[in-house]
Amino acid sequence: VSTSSGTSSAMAHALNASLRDAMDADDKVLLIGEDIGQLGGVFRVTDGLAKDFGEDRVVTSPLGEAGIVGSAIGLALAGYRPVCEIQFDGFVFPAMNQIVTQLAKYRHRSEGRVSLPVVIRIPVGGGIGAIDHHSESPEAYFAHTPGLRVLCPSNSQEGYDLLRQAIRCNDPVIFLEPKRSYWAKGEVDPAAACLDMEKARVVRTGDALTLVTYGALVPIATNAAAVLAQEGREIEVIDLRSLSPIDDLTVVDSVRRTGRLVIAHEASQTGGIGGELAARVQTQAYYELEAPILRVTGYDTPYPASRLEEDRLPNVDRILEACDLSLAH
Amino acid sequence: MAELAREEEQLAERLRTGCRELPTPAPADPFEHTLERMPAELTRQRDQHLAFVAAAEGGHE
Repeated sequence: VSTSSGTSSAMAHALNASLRDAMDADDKVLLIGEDIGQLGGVFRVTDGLAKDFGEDRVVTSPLGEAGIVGSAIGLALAGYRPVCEIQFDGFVFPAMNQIVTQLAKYRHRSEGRVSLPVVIRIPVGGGIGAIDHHSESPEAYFAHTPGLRVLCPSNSQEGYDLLRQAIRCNDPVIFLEPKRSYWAKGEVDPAAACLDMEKARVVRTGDALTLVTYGALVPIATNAAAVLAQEGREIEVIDLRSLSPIDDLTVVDSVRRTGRLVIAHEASQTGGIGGELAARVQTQAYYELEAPILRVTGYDTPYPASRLEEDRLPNVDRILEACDLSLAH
Repeated sequence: MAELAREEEQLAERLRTGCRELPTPAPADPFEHTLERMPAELTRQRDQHLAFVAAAEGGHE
């Protein structure tokens, strides 16, 4: 993996480079997770790091997510900056008690005396032909928990930048890595100026409608925007990047210009990020809205068998249908 | 055992007294220390809460 300026890297390689650079920069950074040592993790994001940094800093844990996160909390209390790897989205639930009851609350409980700089990396989402508990989108659980930050990169550069910022951050960070983006290539320049991790990114500008999404849906939303552009309708695409806190100001500024908002995410609709964002936008830009806010999401069902997953995942056609509905108002 | 019970009750009373003597937190205090930097939305919620408290108490924060 090269981190030289302008290198084209898959997101998995960019994340690997980000971990490597963070470990080079700070010897308190260490990794803990299942199969992350010699194997390099199921998705090879930690490939080669155990060999170069040693097994004291790249710790292959037993199969027990509560133990991984609990150990990370203890290490953070002792001054380390642990980065946990949860093997798949659906495997994080055994660790929820540690995350929600301890990790998220320690700063508040200690009136700011104790920071827990723990990053929990979780491969998320579908689109890889897997089944439930290997294809889930659990972001709303974490975004609903005060005391956690939730980040979700959509490309290699963001993967590199956001993970570096997450590891430097003194707050606990849930770092969601879209699985189907792992092998998508993009330019990575570690020295490039990067947006603050709390800020959303305007991917494409336009004045007809605002389309907000994050993670693996960003390139799909961009493709939908390109189709609409061919019809003479320029829409603005925003990549949230941070799901908690949400940068609603960037979205509201956009909606004040466009008057229309469509929100897309893979996760189930009810209680999702889209509902929260819609509420905030209608509160702040009610008089500028010219159409109801629409959502394009996964359905409120458990994740289906892999043969049916394309029916569940928002795609260009479903996004275009929502945009057409909004623009017809 | 009686001595142990007496020590236990003394310790418990000291803890109870200490807790009762803790100052009552200010209305803004629960909003602090959620994250290292208070997010904009939480700042808005805090300000809305303080305004509500001030109005309910006749302008006293």
